[in-house]
Amino acid sequence: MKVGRRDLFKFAAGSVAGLAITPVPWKLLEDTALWSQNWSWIPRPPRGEIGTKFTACTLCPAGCAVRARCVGGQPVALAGVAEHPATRGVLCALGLAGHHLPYHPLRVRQALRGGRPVGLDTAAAEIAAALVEMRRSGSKNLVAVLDERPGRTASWLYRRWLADMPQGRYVTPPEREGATLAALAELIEGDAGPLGLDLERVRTILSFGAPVLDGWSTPGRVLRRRERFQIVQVETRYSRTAALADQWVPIRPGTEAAFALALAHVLIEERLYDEAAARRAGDFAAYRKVAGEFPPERVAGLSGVAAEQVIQTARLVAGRRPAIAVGGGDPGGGPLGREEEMAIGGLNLLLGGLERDGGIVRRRAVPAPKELEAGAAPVTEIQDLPNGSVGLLFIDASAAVDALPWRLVEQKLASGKALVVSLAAYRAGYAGHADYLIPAPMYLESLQDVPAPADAAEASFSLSTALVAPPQGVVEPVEFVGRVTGNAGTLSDWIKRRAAAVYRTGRGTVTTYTTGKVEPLAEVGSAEKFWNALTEGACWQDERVGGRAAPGVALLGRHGDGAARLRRAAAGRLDAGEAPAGQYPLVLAPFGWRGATGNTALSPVMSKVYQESGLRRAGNQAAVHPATGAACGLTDGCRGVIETQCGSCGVAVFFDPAVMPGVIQVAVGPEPPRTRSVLEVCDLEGGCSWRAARARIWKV
Amino acid sequence: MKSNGRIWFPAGVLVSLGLGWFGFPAMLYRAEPQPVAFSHKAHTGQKGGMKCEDCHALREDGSFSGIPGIEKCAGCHASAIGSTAAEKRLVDEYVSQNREIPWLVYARQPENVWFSHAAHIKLGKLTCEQCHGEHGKTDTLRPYEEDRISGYSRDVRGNPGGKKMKTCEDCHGRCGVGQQGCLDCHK
Repeated sequence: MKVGRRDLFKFAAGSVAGLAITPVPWKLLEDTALWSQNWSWIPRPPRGEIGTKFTACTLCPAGCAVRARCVGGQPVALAGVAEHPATRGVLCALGLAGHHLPYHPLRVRQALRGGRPVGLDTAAAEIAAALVEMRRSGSKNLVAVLDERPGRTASWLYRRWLADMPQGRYVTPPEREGATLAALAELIEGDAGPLGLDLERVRTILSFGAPVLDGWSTPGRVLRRRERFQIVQVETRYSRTAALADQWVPIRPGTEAAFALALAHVLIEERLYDEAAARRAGDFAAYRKVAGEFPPERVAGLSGVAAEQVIQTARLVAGRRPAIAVGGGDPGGGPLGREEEMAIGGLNLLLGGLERDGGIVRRRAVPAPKELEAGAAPVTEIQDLPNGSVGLLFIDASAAVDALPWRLVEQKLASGKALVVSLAAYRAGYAGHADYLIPAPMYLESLQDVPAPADAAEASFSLSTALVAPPQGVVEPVEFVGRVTGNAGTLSDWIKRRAAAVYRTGRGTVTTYTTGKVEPLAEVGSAEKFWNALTEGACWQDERVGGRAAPGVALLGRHGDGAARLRRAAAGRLDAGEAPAGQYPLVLAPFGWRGATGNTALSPVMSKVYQESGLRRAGNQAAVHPATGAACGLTDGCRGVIETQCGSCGVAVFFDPAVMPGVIQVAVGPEPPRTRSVLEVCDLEGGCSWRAARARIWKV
Repeated sequence: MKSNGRIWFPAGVLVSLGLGWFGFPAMLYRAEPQPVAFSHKAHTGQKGGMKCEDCHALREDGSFSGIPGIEKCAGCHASAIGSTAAEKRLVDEYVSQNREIPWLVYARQPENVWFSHAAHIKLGKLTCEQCHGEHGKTDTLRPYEEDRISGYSRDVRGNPGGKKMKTCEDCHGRCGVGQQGCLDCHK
């Protein structure tokens, strides 16, 4: 039988037709997809015994207790710990996915110099040599450590070591969540010591843009008492806190000081203030005069809030005491500014919140080893450093939380010859600007201590124990800085010494997570037993400081220039700037979320639980009111360019009717690659705040 | 002789059907024997008298213990009870060396599937047999079949009666558990 070419084609066609009604194509399609789940480089937990370990989250200062479900010793799921006295089982979206972060694609696994790999020893030797050269040449430039999470044992080590260096400076970002309390401490006569918020008894929170219900303070503390207090949210943006608040007061950007003074004006005029507090204020008359210059009618024109609403807000807050006023600013949008915080602090004093249950209370600091406390370098906020003064800057970005524009850091560097060493777990944030990038351990990869957050009502201490082995080549930032500066020390040893210092106080209670047992610290038995309890899952909480007589206060501060500064700030931040309103008719207002502002990495997993857009806007996404967008020639979803006096950056534009007309809200977050962050075009307002700037926008 | 052109197309179809339905499955799966010839029947029948949960229990925290470790086997088989070669191998190669048996689990789900035995046993009141059939009464363990491409067990992604997503959906539909979201099972 002769088989022709045509027969072969027919056979092939029949084979193809037949194949379509067999499992072959469909099974191959499915198996190929499934095959991609099992690629060897995809991290997966080992099979093994299921168990529970405890640690504490270090992704933000709240330090929530964490229960980790482990398989074969590897954490596979994180949850809160209901037994923890402050966090009460609450864990935010960031914390719930925290065990994914060690595997982020941006993870740094080896030291980089100018973006190219370099041995860790080589990097250390080169940086040490640069330091020696600085000393040898008699340079007046400073050696500074920018610590993005002050208060840790590592922070104390930095301070102690820098104190021994004539040119050493310990630098922190501008105070954020603790800014109101820091401002209040400046208004109190004598040594105020650490202050805290008694959220457990407060009845009203007057928030000036603080994200009270969206990752502020210790979320567990806030949510647990939510039904017992009202929130009045004074904020430009219709944030999630504004949406969930009992009252939202939309305010024009940069007019918080005027609004606070208008409230003070109403409180004073209607005699709603705490008279005992006023008697303790030596400058009440002067303060009354300043507040008198900002009646609701005038402030209505400045802030856009109707005079009647100002009056109603003041009456509401005064009528539901104890009340506290909080500022602090936005994790992405920057701090409010010292004058605004002074005005908010003044409101707290007028409302009689100082030294009162449900108000501002004193607390003790978490003890540190005496060797570190004695002679530690003072804390300098970065805006207070002279411009162009830093010759060698170490940035401990291993615990970064809030945004800090690179321009603010850059202007402190000595021009042309400064060396910047970033110690971080990710190639993000400042890493692109640093001369050296030193890989640091990520959360869950090393032992860290978790002292009380800035607004805690009492001191506390717990440990974040390592549950995952760090990659090879990773080094603890403080130990690297110690090596370069000639200071030997192991962080874990010092953390243990700090735990011993806490134990020696003999005060407070220890809560064990596994059993929920609360026992007095004095009954634990020994420092070693206390340490073992902490490492296995426990926290120490100090006693509340007993009531003291309220001290004398100065509503306008203790430096004599408070009235003038308040007047200037209240007259309007934007009007004080140099940008002409005609050329820049809009206001740029950046915003972000705690722990998600670009200097660290995020897990995409929580976006599977909620819509990504519902959780957060991606970096450099700009929202404008439809009318504003139309007036600027924009369309919904278009690409645009924002320009301020400081530069321009590209953004993705979205229309949102909840945005105040005339305002451009831009999210600060992990930006797409090769994108200039919106923070780099914000006006630094005297070096400490960047929350509003005159701007214009156009479509590209 | 010139061929009859009409037979070639159906011949191609028939060859494809034969290869696709019989040859392909045989090639796709790799059969592997279990490391130890274990008899559920010997343990659960009248002779052994054990129940499923004696070895496959829920822990205190509600999680499923899965296949018991060698320690459990050693409880009875520290030394050989009978005279079978399988038991001798168990004792010599695993129990006496305190080495875990590398069982090949027929129903092991992909990493992206979250399944709770506790929810199904305690809340759903399901018996072991409803999902695992008469596995507890078998005298031998059939070979484990692994998909050469995906690496998954044939019981999970191949057999019609296997533990596939469709199996879960159908049962949830029949039991009126309600509409399931992706994240109920895929964490």
